Amino acid sequence: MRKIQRVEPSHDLYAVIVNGVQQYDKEHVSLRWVWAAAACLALLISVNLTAIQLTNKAPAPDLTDLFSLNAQNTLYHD
Amino acid sequence: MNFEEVYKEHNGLVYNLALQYVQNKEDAEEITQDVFVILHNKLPSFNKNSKLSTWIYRITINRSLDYLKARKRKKRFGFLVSLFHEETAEPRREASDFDHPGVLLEHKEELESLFQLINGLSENQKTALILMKVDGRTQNETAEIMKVSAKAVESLVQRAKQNLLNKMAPSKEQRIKIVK
Repeated sequence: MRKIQRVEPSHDLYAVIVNGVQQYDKEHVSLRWVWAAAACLALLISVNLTAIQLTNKAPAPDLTDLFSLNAQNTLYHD
Repeated sequence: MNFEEVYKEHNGLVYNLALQYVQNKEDAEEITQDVFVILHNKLPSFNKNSKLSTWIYRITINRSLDYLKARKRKKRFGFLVSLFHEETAEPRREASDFDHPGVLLEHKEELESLFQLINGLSENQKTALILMKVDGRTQNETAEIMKVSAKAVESLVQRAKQNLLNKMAPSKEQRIKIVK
């Protein structure tokens, strides 16, 4: 084991690494952007859910009135 | 400390440690590249309370072990791939090529067979042996890097030595001869 000598890496390696780092930055979206996108999506979903809940609170239209299906015809009493 | 300074100070450490795991110049350079890309991304979040070199040792060891696992997988499925891609006439580089620049030609054969035996050890035994016997770390430094106790390191190295002896010479008489 003592016969193994310590060696220096090639001088070009630093340039290759810097290139790799730049490539990585290009290919990967920053975590800050991922969180911002997730927050926007969450906000959009919550706004939609609130809107749906508010619309649902309005009373449902009475179908009998809507289609004039009321059995009691009040016309003759007038 | 900026990235360039970290590189200048630790490139030898990363490259040489990776070399002891993969015993191949090209593979060691690839691991060194990966380790420094990881370092570049994680350096701002590095906990200043711990030692930078210990952290770099850990990243290099993990990356080297992952690389070896991936190489083993590739080798296992290489046969199938070659069946489906017969048109690629380019000769495929044998994954286990021994090309250790730190080994002199006169010791190449001897160390190649020794490394073959070391490669057959468990990950922990291999790491303890490499850190202490090749990289020259002390027992306490090795324990800190491996996140185990100094006693555990001692036991790992002992077991690694015993396993190597068993593989080198299966009979008891031969083992005694080697030890002597």
